Amino acid sequence: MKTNATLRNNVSTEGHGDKTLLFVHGYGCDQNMWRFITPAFRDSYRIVLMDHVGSGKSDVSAYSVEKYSSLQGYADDIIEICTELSLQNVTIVGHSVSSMIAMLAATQHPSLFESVIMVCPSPRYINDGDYIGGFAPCAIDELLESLDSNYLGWSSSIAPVIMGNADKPELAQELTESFCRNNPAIAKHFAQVTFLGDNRSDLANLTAPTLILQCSSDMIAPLQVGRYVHSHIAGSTLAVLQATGHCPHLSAPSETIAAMKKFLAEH
Amino acid sequence: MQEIERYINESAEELYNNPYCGYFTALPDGIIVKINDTLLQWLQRERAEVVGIVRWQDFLTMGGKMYYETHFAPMLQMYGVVKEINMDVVSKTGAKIPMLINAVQVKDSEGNVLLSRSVVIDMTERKEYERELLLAKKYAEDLNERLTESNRQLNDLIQMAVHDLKNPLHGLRMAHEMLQSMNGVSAEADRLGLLSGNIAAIDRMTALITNLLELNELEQGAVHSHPEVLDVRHLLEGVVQDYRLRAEAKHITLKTSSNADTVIWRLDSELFEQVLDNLLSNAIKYSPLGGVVLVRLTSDSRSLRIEIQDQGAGVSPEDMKKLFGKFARLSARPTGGEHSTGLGLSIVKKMVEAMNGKVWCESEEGKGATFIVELPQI
Repeated sequence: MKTNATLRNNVSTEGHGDKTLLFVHGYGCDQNMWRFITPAFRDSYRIVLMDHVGSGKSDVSAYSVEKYSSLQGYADDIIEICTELSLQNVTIVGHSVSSMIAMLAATQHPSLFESVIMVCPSPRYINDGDYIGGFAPCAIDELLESLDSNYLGWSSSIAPVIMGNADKPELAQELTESFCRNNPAIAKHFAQVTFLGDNRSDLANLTAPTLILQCSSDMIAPLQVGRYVHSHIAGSTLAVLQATGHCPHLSAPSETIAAMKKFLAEH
Repeated sequence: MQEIERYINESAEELYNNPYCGYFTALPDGIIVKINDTLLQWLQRERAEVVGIVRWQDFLTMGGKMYYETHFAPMLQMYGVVKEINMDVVSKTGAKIPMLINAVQVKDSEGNVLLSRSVVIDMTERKEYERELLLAKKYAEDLNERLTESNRQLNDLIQMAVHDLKNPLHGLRMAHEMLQSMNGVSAEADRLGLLSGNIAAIDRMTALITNLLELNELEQGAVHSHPEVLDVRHLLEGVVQDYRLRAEAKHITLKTSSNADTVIWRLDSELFEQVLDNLLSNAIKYSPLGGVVLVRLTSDSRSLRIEIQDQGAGVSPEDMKKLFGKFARLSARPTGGEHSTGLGLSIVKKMVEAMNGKVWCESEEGKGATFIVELPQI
């Protein structure tokens, strides 16, 4: 039976095992972005997928500008999901901004989380003195403008047709529904919270074993940012992938899976 | 005839290079490996400086790059196709061209992504139109929000006005019933008491209705300031004089001061008198018996300032926020059983604003309140 948090965040579970992998998507997408990764873990883990409120098929009516004005609101949702599903021994896998959300959750409730996997994390996107986040503040305004100008696209019900997926008809069926189509107003607010945030001072509080998956050429979270995260989380592991871009779980799933399995076997 | 046939039969290569849209082919990481002449022209680039070297996302604005990485690229990787995404492309000279992009992945027989093909259309004018649509939508949303809010305020106002009219009406009815049946009315004194109570109730209702009408006029913008040159000092003394009797009944001393014997100013005497009326009657209403109310008039070349200071209970920080609102329901109570409609200060504020002035209150709880009106030289 679905309860409040699981309904709100469109939580779905698959696979079986004593341990849990909780996947948390980043900005601009939804839980579908993990679909190239999850099959590799189905046999040995319980897999939990979720959509942030305002993304995917979450309950948009649960959105509150106040609650989600900081990443803490999103972290609280994750704790609620863990509590409702009585999850234990969780490894939380967060992409992009959700690496920081995962960090907040794991810092505040260390007993729930066994380890943390950060995919392309950045504690702060905007440059600040000696710190190079990769972006000038005006870039954020441009991003918000891009969101506005694609407003019609985001909010419309156009369902793109899947090409070349004859061998996976179920994928085509699901994907035509709502992949990466978020409520435009929420997408804008989430972008502000994501790209204007600063979680650098929180990194040192994370004590769980942590894997940082860093792409070799990622303009959103450049290599020096990955190194920064690595050096500020004691005992963390930095794995630099050959994959480029900001979504190795989509562009290089095999390499991503291999790095995750290696870390999970060691911790 | 010959020429048209040459174009009809042109090679695919010519057709690829010269339509009024851009084509490019890119590797999965975005490196452009093939591009047509039209797109190169738009980008103001030579083929040699692009092919095999530059990634498509390098041509986007910084915000566009973020959008590309967080939304466009994942969509393309998941779907295999992305349609109708708008991104601003930056040419070599820095010109931003709004483009509409459709992209499709090409995979090998095993399903591995080899590259993607994209079509790019200049949408400068359509973008303008979309921008107008968005502005219109935003305007409609804002308007809707404002209307909802004003409707809510109006409902509140009506509810409070009705409530405040109902109470004295109820009292009136009871008094009339008693007078009619002569039940509990044994002496002439009882009868007179009931009647004077009735008059007071009618006065309260009349005052409320007058205030509501006044406020309505002010809010409709129907009240205009008609300034004339006059001696403010003289005007002020006149208004204060009208309140001496009421003040004496509560043993309150009314004092006035001015930095000049005559203060010549240009203002609407009617509005000004009503503002003073309201503030003075409040000061007396909320002053302790035997207190002092000070009215200070100061002026310089730019502004005229009237301060009305009382020794009442003062205004709590909580009340300060809603002081000039309608039916503000403040915690301070009149000290001599006087009545308040709860509209006086909101009327004062609107009137002062109609005179292009400002009104505010300074108070420390327990140490009285000072209402200050500042009017500009006009």
